[in-house]
Amino acid sequence: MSNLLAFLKRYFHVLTFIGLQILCMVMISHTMNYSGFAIARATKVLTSPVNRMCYSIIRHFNYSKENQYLTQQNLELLNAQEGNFLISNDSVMGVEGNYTDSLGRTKRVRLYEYTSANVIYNTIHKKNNYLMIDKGSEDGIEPDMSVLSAEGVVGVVSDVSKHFSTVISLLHPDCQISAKVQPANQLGTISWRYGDPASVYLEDIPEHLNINEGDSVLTSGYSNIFPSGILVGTISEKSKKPTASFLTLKVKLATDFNHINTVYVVRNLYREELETLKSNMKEDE
Amino acid sequence: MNRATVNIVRFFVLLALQVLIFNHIHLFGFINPNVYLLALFLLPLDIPRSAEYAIAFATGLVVDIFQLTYGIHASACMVFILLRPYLMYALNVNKKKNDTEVPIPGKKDFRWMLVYTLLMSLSHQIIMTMLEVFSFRQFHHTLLVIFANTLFTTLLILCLEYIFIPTKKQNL
Repeated sequence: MSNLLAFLKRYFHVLTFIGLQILCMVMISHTMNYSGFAIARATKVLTSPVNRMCYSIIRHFNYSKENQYLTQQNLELLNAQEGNFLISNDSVMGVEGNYTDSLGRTKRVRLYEYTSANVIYNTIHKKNNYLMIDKGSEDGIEPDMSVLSAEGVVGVVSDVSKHFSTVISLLHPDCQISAKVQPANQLGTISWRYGDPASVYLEDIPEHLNINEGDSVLTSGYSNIFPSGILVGTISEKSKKPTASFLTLKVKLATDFNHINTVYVVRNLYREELETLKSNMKEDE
Repeated sequence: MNRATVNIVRFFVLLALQVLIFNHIHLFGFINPNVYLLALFLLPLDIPRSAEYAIAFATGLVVDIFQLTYGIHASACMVFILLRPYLMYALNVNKKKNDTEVPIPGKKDFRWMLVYTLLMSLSHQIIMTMLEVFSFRQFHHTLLVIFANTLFTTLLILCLEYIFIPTKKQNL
């Protein structure tokens, strides 16, 4: 017995080593074989708060990559929108052979096409505000294409170089776009006045219409630049000059011009055709 | 601060560093340095062997818990502790039998430290990677992982040692 104790005392560290190694091997074989390992479940309580904290920090380093994916996904969704097509799934139009494919489905004719771009220069406090984006004529950008953000309208492309473009921001006195106020469905013109970069004014709205604060203002789609139904902002204030019979509505912009990073440039594929028709109209007058 | 406190604090700091920062470094997709080994490198040599093994096991297990590789680091750490005195003895030029001093930059020259750290982390890395991969398929990739990780771990451990341990030459 004393011999055994002496042996244990002498070789205790060897036994410890072997015992702990066996424990390791048991754990390793368990992790290899079972998915719901008991130790894993027990230690999750300890590790998950630490891991969550860690990943909330690590996530910040991946935002630019993730942003790219999201922009790409947004672009696909924007391009697939029903409003981008001239002929949607309309059964009456579908009967006409010209507009159907071999299976009798309605051929969809695309009117608007979206591209994404990044803002590289932006002003909001000047009298005439411009943006610059990192896509140009090589990427198919042309003057008079509309520029949107994820939130709403941003402006119109004014000048194009090979790799960059200048955009007249909505915060520019010359940028007047046609818009309608919902639910009254009345057309008006949006224009900006120097000063407040968060608001624009909607003019030419007859005073008899029932318009409330909080009504949304959308693009009309009649200018051939902007697709219809893009949010410009919401009405924040109603005012009327005593002599005029038209209301001036203050519109709080949907787009936060302070923080624009990614924008979508919209091309109207039939713009030239539509412009020609419009100019013919003027010659007749 | 006495020796025990210094060691305990060192273990906690290095494990926190390992879990919070170095576990999330994936250089070239597979380099994941094991900086916590520094705590085992600097563990005093004159404590009971069985206690050393227990400490190594616990240290490895903490890292395992966070990497969800239960047992792999623990096993490798114990082999590391097992090899430590033998390797020190083998590398000592004057073959002193009972060398109880932990090799640190002030006591040994740089070449000795480099070889010692490299071999120690190599032994740890071999056990760890082989247990993790557990096959000889694509062995060249396993070897690459072992050597790249060993080099990176050694580099970081030597840097930390030379930064934080004052190197005063004893008798010049």
